[in-house]
Formats: sequence, C-alpha cells, structure tokens
Amino acid sequence: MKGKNYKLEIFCGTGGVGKTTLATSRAKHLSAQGLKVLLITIDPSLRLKQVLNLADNSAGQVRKVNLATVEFDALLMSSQKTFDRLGIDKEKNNKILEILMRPNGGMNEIMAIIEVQSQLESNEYDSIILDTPPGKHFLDFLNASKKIDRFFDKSYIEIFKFLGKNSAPKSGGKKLFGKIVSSGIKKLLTYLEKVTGKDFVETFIDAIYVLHQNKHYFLKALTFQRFLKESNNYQWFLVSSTEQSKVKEIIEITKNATHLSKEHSVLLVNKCLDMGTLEEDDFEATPVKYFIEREKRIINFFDQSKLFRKFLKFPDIYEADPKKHVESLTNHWD
Amino acid sequence: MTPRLIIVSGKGGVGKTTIAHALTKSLRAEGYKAFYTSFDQSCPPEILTDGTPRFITSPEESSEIYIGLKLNSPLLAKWVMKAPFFKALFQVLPPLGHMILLGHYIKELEDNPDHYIVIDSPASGHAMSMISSLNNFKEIFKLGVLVDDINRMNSFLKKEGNTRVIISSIPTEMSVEEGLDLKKFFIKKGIENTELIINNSLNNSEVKDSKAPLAMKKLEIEKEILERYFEKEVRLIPQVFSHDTKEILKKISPSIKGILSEG
Repeated sequence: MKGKNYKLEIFCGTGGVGKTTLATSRAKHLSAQGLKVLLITIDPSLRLKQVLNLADNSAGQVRKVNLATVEFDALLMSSQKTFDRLGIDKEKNNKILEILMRPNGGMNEIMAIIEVQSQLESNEYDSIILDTPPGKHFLDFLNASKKIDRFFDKSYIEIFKFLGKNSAPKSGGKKLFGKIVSSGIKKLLTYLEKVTGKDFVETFIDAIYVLHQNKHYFLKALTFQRFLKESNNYQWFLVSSTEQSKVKEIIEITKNATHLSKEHSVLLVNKCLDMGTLEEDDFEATPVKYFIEREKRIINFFDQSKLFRKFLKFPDIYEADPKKHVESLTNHWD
Repeated sequence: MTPRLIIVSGKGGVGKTTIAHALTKSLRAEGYKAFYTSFDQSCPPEILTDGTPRFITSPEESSEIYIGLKLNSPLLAKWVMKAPFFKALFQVLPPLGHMILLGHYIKELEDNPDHYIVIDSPASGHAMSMISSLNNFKEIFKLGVLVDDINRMNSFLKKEGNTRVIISSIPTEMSVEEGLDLKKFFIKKGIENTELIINNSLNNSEVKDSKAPLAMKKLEIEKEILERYFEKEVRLIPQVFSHDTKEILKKISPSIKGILSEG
C-alpha cells in the first residue's frame, strides 16, 4: 500500500536537534510503506554515515541501506562526484575548479542543489528526503541558486570569455573590447594580477570560461527554485527541540526562508520528555520539573503560533546507539 | 602560557557560543585583554548586553580592508569590492571571505602583542572549510603576496603556544564521534593543541543529585559513552538548569578556568 507521498521532503533546523536522525527515520518509514526512497545529506560533516554505518569512501555514490530489513537508497553529497557526473569535458579540467570541488572547498551548497535537481529530474524515486546543513547554512543552501544566477551575470561572462580565449567574432571584437574598458574589468584584472600574479589570473579566466561553457548545468539550480515556487509536491520539516534558543532559531529561519511556504511546512518538536515515559518521581525532581515546565511552555507557544501548517512531537530517546534512535523514531511517523 | 588565539568549534547545539563567551570573560577576569569574535556578523544578544569586549567584523568589510592594504589604496579597494563580479565571487566562495577574516584576526594579534582572541567558530563542516581554505588557496595562487600572507597565517597558527582549539561535544554518540573526527582534522592541519571537552554533562550536576529516574537513565548513557570513547579522563562542563546566561556562566566558570590553566 502506498501512502500519500511528496516528491521531495526537506529537513531543516538548527544544529543538534536530531535533524539527520529524524530524516533517516522518515526515509525508513516511507520505504516500509513500499515507496522508493532516496535519502540525501548535504551536511558537510556527513553525520549520516554514522547513523547508517556507511563506509568513508562512499561519498557521492548512491548506496543501498538496510535498516532492520527495510531497504532504501542513501547518498552522501560529494561536490567532486556531482561535478564529475555533470560530464564536463575532462580536458577542460582546471586546477582552481578541482580544488574548489574538494570536500571542504566551499562549493557544497551549490553542488547540492544541482545534485537534488538532477535526482528530481531522473524521476527514479517516489520520494527524495533531503537533510540540510544546520541553522543559517540552510539559508545559504536556499540562496545558492540566487548566487549562481548572479555569478553568471551575462555581461561579465561575455567579457571573461573574450579575455580567456580571444575568440570573439571579428566584427564584435571591437565592441566587446569597448565594453571591457568601460566596465573596468580589465583594470580589475590588472589589480588582481598585482596581488596574485599573472599565472593565477590566467587560470582564473580559464576557470570562469569552463564554468560558463557548462553553465546550463549550474543553472539547473534555477529550475529547482522554480520547483519550490510552483510545485505542490514537496513538504518541509522544520526540526526543533524544546530549548528556548532552538525555538528562537527556528523562528528566525522561518522568517528568512522566503521560498518556504507555510502551506508546505510541518514543525517537528524533537526530544520531548513528557510523552508517557516519565515516572512519578521525575515530576518531583526540581531539575526535571524545570525541563517539563519549559517543554509545556514551548509546546504551548508552537500550538498557538500560526507559523506552520501543523506540528508533530517526537520523544527523547534514552539509548546510546543511533540505530536504535532511528528505530524508535520511525514508529512515531504513523 | 596562555594561547593568543582560542578557537571554539564543534557540531551545532553543543554550546560553542556559551563556552567562547565564558572563556572570554574568564580571560578578562584574569587581566588579559581578551576579545570575543564570531564568523557570523550577528553577535548573540547575551554577549551584546553584558558588555563582553568583542571584535566583530564581516568577511566583506575585512576583505575590503585587506585589498586596500595590498593595493595601497582603501578607495580602490572599495571600488573593487563593489564590482558585481567580485561581490558574486565572494558569495559563491564563503571560505575565501572566512580565510581573509581569520587573517584579519591573526594580524590584529600580531599588531597587538597583549591581545587575546576567542573565536566562536562556525559548526564543524564550515570550520573545516575555513582551515582547509588556507592550503586550497595557497595551491590556487601558487605565489605572490597572497601566498606570503597565507604562509604567515599558517606559521602563526602552528607556532607553539599560539593557538588552542577547544572542541565542544555533548554526551551523545554522534556528537562525540564528530568531535573526535574534528580533533583529528585540526591535529592533521598542524594545530596540535586541540582538546575535546564534554559539555552539558550530567555528572556533578543538580540532576545527578535529584536521583530522578529520567536523570539516572541519561546518566547511564553518558557513562557508557565516556567509557567507550575515552581512555583518559575527559574534561566535563556540567549542564546548568537555567535560561539565565549570567547564572549559567557563573556555574560553569570553575570548569572553564581549568581549560585555560592546562594545555
């Protein structure tokens, strides 16, 4: 039996609230219902591998995961592998691009959007579960497409193309050169050369040129943006705990994520204490009472707030093993 | 010897800001000219309101100052940074801005031998990007003044006694594993003085004394994790049951002092 499924389910939230574990439990839950599921984590620290016991070298490859007989696919993001998959001509490989695509090279957010869009286009999965970087970095992820758009600003790219290859059509050459002078880009590069040396400037222009030639791949990010804007086929899960600071951060994210529509959002309050497992003595102990009261206050706040379509509570789990966490949380999705 | 630069890192939600805040205050109390810094432009309100000395600047501001120094003209730097292309470049490559910002902090320390800086660093992945960017950009630029500056940053960071990295973790398996990974990373990058500490420990906390069943269950997990991952004793910062920053800082202050006296 197949339940109601969304093409894409995005998990975001502040650090340390159990985002990755909840996303994994969601993947397991949907998969147990008979859906074909892919779980993607773009968290640069690749925490998912700890939960899923994935080997270190599996980043960038879709792997089969088996959790207590439930099977689904999982992918740890690797900028390099995504970049390779784009099929950019190897000959045009450029030192700068190679370095930037390394695990800590800084292109993670942008490459992640490209990967997610490619997976959506492949239509291979009923549901893609996406685990995102914590807190404000989630906003970086959302804004990545805007950054790409700006980076590929037409006039600058034309100029770089000309500077890089000197292959502008003869008739247009003069016009383009005029543009270079008036835009000040030539001057900019002269200054850059002063600081970095000529060699760098040449490799740099080459890198921009390669990116430009392959810009249709990068502009996939804009298609993703449109998908979020126009499709009803996705769901956001905002994960919070019952700590005051986490609640503040969740509100902050909600306010700033302008692509996030309220109709698609579900708040998950994780690590709730008061879910039937407490004993009488717990309610007597002062520090525990402190937690319970705080939790009540915060649940009450979420209940009254109109920031989300609905909210779900998930229990705090008293186990050391992350796999057992996933197992317990999976049952709460029903 | 008190390190000139203290980097507080760890995954999200492990109390980096609280520890960086407490360290700055603790150093001040001992008479050091210490400053709190962060890689976020926004300063946490609890630090703004209690008057902790801070040194906050944004990567954009920092880059403009840096380029101004290199070109011998702040005006020219303003113009360069305003160019849409460069603006976009810095946005596409956050580590570039972070690296320049780190360079800014280091220069501040070099120029003022009596200053101390505590960095509330970005969460693990982004902290690794920041440190990796030193070698990455060195490889990209190959030579020139930029590489000279990167070399200077590297030798400051690696010089004995200069830098100390505190990796905060909470007593959960995932957090500790990630903390240990991060520790390995910093040591591999040549910053030997790196220590993993456990924050929000229930040991020595009021919860332990309460003997509540919930507390006992949590304490049991903590014990199991500490035994599994640490052969030697690990530094514990107790969990404080309060949302009042002042009270939290007061209660963790003895364990914070310990961080500075050793290592």
